[in-house]
Amino acid sequence: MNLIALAGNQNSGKTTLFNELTGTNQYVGNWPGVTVEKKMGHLKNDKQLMFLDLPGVYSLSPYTLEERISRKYLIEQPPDIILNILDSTNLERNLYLSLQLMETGLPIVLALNMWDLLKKQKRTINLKKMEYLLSVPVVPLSAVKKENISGLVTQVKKAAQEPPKYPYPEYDDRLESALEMISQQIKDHVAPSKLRWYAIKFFERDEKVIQKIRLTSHQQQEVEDIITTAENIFAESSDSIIVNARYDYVAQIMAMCVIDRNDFQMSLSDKIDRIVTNKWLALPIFVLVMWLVYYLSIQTIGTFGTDWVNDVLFGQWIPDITSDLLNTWHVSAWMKGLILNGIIGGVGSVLGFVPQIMMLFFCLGLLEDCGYMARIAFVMDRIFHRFNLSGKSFIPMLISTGCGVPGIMATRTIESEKDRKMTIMLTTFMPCSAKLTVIAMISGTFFPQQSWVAPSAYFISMLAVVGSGIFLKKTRMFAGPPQPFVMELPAYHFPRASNILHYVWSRSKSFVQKAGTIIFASCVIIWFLSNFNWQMHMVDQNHSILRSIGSVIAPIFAPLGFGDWRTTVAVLAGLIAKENCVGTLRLAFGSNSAQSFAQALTSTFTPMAGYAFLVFNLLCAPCFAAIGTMYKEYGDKRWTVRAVLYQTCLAYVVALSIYQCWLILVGSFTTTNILYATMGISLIIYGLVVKKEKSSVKKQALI
Amino acid sequence: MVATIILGVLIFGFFAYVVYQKFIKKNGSNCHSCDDIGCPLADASKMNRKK
Repeated sequence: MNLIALAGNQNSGKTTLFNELTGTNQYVGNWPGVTVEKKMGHLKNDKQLMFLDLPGVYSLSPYTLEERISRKYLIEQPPDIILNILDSTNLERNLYLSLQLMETGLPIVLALNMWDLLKKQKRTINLKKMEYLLSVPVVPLSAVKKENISGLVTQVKKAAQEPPKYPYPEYDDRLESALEMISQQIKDHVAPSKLRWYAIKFFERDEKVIQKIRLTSHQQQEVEDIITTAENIFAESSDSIIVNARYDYVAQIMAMCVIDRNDFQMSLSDKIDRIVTNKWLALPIFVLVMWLVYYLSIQTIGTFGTDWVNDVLFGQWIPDITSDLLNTWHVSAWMKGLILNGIIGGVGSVLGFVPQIMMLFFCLGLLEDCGYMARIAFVMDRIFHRFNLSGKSFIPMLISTGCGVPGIMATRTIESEKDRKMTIMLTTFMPCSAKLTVIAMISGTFFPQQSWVAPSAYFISMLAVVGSGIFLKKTRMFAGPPQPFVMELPAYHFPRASNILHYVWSRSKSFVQKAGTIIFASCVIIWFLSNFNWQMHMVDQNHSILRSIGSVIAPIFAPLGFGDWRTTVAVLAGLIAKENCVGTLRLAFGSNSAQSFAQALTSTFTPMAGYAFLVFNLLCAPCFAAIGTMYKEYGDKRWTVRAVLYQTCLAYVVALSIYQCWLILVGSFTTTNILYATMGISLIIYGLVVKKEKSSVKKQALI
Repeated sequence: MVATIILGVLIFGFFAYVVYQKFIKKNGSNCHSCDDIGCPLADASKMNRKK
């Protein structure tokens, strides 16, 4: 049997509802030791649901008898569910109690009573927004007119079977910091599920709680110091701080959810958003926009520039002029090889992508400056929320499309520690500008006239993020309800040329600088390793140090279709900087021109092996700079290793599945292929569908 | 021969400088400076300064 406590302000219609729910099946008595009436009764047609009518209160402070009774009951003999009745026409005052009820951490359903009166006032409450903000079910009804009582009963029964989990309301950061410190002092004296409640009561200097929970004198002093510090910061007493924090939260809910129809006017931005963020159109529009961005950058406009840079600038002009100069200076053969093949060949192959990078950043700059990028975060939140993720996690991923380092650092804006750790792990799945060189190389070499390849890389990354989020949220490490995501959508405006030019210039400059430093250094090392053997004699590549290193690890990548030493060393070099994948392959294949390089690639690998190579490098461990940033943000080696291992294993499984399934589809497969494909697909299905959610607290996971 | 040596000194000297700056120096520069890679805060502050 489930016990549901009805709680609410006086005159919220609580008793009317109680009578409607229970009919004549009521038991009336008194609360122990007092003369306050205690009413209980089971649902009219279902004895499994027992309702208890708590005294009407405006808060859970310890002042009035009714308040003391209600809170004593909720803390010491908690019901299975709280059914909080609110007067819809007086929401602000009623929500104050709702927040206090949510601080207890008990499962709660909100019932917005007097809905009919609210309509008469030409006002409405956006229930979906309210449910989203508070992460609890919200049901409108009219107890007096008996409207939607059945809807409420359905919701209560659903909550009885699956108690709703929600993050507790979070207040001002400074107050939260004080509460966290108090929690640390009292954690050995109270149950984990009640820690939040008691921390707030201690902060309020609640006498009943202070008498009940006996802290040591040192702990009492610590708590008092924390409260005094907070009072000095806020220049208010501690109970005023909490009251104001709650009302600020209530004001935010009111502003977001309560709509006065008389005031409603749609701006141009609102009209555009009706389409762009529409429930059905948003995602297809987003897909189309990103397809267009990548199509313009990688396939068409960007390609003209890249072809010229690769074929003319670094294909003829620079090598020819340099070669002539070096011959005039009688430079030795090995130095000529280093400069022409190692530095110009390697760095040039990366710089060849500058036009495509510039085009990509031009398009992204347009989207950002006009205001559309903010909408993407909003649209993704709607999808993410379905899988217990928060749209707040998508902002760092948007930043990661430039570089993963600031994307990882942007996770500091995520309050939930679990969500933050998870986002750090997933954020580098998004293709950064460095990975764009790999995308451009693979799509240009293996899929020259096919516009789906480059955008598909972006969408595979998104799928990896969503899929990983679904899987990781089922694990004990990351389980928990998603944080609400509140953001202000900026108004649309025409992109400003100066902003976009600055955007393109700064990112392109950074790309070129990186090519001139880290890529340059990497190319020198790779050239050396590919032209010398362990005895330090100059040899051809097939007898070089690089080959011997690559050959040891290459068999690991054979099931992915690129078990060749050259692609293996390219993957390893990609750990220094992802652009190195391109430079290293160019050096390892020893090609003199862009065309011969492309021919060498296509004659060594099938298109799908190239695609598997692309997917692996997209999803595997990021560059050292990003790993270093992950370590700084985690502050822990174990978490960093965990993240890197997860990313690499996921990359392997996805690339394996794609390549092996393709082999089966084209009919050239063996038993081993079927085994690999089955393993890959099974792992993915297990993670997404089969694995059950683990709760972080054994009973009633609440916070 | 002389040209080879000069070029060697320049190339390997620059190589050593890059390795030192990026990987060895304690507070060495990361890959990029903040505004180049698009940290929203750095971008906005630079734009404001330019205005």
